[in-house]
Amino acid sequence: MIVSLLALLVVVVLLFLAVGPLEALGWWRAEGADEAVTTLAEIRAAHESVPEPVPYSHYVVYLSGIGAIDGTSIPEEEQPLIEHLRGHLPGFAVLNDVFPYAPDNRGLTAARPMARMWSWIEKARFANPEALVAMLVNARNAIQLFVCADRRYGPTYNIGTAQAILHSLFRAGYQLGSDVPVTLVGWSGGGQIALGASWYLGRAGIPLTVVSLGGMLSDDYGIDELQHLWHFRGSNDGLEKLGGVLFAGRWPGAVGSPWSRGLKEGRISVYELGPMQHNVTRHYFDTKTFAPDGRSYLEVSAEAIEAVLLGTEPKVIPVEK
Amino acid sequence: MAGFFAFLGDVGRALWGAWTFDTSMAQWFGSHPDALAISATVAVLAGASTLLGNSVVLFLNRVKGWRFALSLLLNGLGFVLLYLTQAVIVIAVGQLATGRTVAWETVVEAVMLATAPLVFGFFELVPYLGPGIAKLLQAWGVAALLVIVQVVYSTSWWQAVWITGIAWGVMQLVSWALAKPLAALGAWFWRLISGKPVLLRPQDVLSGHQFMPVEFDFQLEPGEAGR
Repeated sequence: MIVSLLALLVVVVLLFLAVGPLEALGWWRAEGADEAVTTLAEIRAAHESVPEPVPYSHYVVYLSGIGAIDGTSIPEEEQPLIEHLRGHLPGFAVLNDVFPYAPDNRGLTAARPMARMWSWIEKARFANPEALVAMLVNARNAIQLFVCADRRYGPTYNIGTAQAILHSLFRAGYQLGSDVPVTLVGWSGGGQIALGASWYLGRAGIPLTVVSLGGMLSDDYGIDELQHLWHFRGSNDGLEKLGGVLFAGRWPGAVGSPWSRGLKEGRISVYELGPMQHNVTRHYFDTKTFAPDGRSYLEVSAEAIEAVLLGTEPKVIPVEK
Repeated sequence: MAGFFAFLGDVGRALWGAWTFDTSMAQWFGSHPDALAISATVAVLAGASTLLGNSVVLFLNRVKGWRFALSLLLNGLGFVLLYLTQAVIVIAVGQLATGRTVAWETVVEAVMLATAPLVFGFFELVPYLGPGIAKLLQAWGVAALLVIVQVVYSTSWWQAVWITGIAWGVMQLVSWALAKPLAALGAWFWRLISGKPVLLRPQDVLSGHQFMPVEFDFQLEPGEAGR
């Protein structure tokens, strides 16, 4: 009886996983490919013209974790990190209007069949940030993370997210061909989405780097297009570690994978930020847990990202082995 | 109506028996008046599910409407032909190995019933794990065929391993040998019905390498990028 129930549970979970890619595939078939053709024409036209002056010296695009409902409706705990980056990086544009978990940048509460349910969950989470029902958002978005990392679905899904990032940059005055650097800062699942989009953004001629905070990263081909990837992880972060286990291209023996290539070429730097967990308590955004030097965990995370963006060495919490 | 539900119940029982390698079902299934219809239903379900699992390439090539349905139908015919070939090989090898002649209907039923694990073929769509799941399902199908062959030929486990192993090996050889001509035929047919060349082939999608999903090269001309 227990075995049958477990088998049924596995089948139900697999069913949810199996329908996960249909949104992205349907988007590609209906409109995504046409949009991609238009975007490529835009990219070519931009490269053929002389770029106008760009209002910022560096562009940062923040990609939220799997708790995001749309580009701006993200878990409350992440907001101070974005505000810190805006406040400490003069001359930088810090953008956060991209929803990383839909290839058409359509938030969960936008025109969708299940929009009402997501709106209700958003309200419940607003009232109580720890509401259990909000886990449905995490589950839905986690599936999209795997769609992004899948070699079959990734190439089309990532065109969508790359387009959304590119249009966000354009809205903030970015000019292709200007050589102004762009950094994608991805928290948790946002780290993988950043890598997926990097393949196209790098090929569009953008000087591109990625900062991953507790990212569950695969050996994405996007790594090949990066100037650098900084990966910050907590020593007690089990989900971040899962990335190194689940994605075979990150295993030590996977010598030909983009991840191994990036490490070998010195384009990937991995930092142990401190004894952070992925979530619940003592996590990267925790304002109530403090490092021995008096900084909150949030400050440690934010200052580390700030440091690499400014080209200095990040200050981590030494972890006793 | 009651007969229909009884038939569905029997299909469910046959599926469960094949999934769990339950040899005690052999007596019930062998004497069932609708054994052929039950096994054919299992094969159709398995085929439809597998084809949905393999439909990624149709989505990526933006195949819609009747073309999507026609492509699924043609792939379905290919699926049936593949398993009929397997039945023929099992009949030939089984007779050689055991010296027994088993009615062709029985072997066809057996081979179709052994596709029961592929009823979960739809799960090939599962992100990241899908291709691995597909391989597991194939292995499960081979194991089911092994058990069914052992029952049908009333033979030893090792002899069943030989029969199934040779049938499986020949199937792989045939698939490998026919892969290119079938791909060319498919491409010709695709051009005929769509007027467009095939943009992406299943092997492109399953290669594990980055592929370009649209009708252009994303690489900018030398000197364009990062001026």
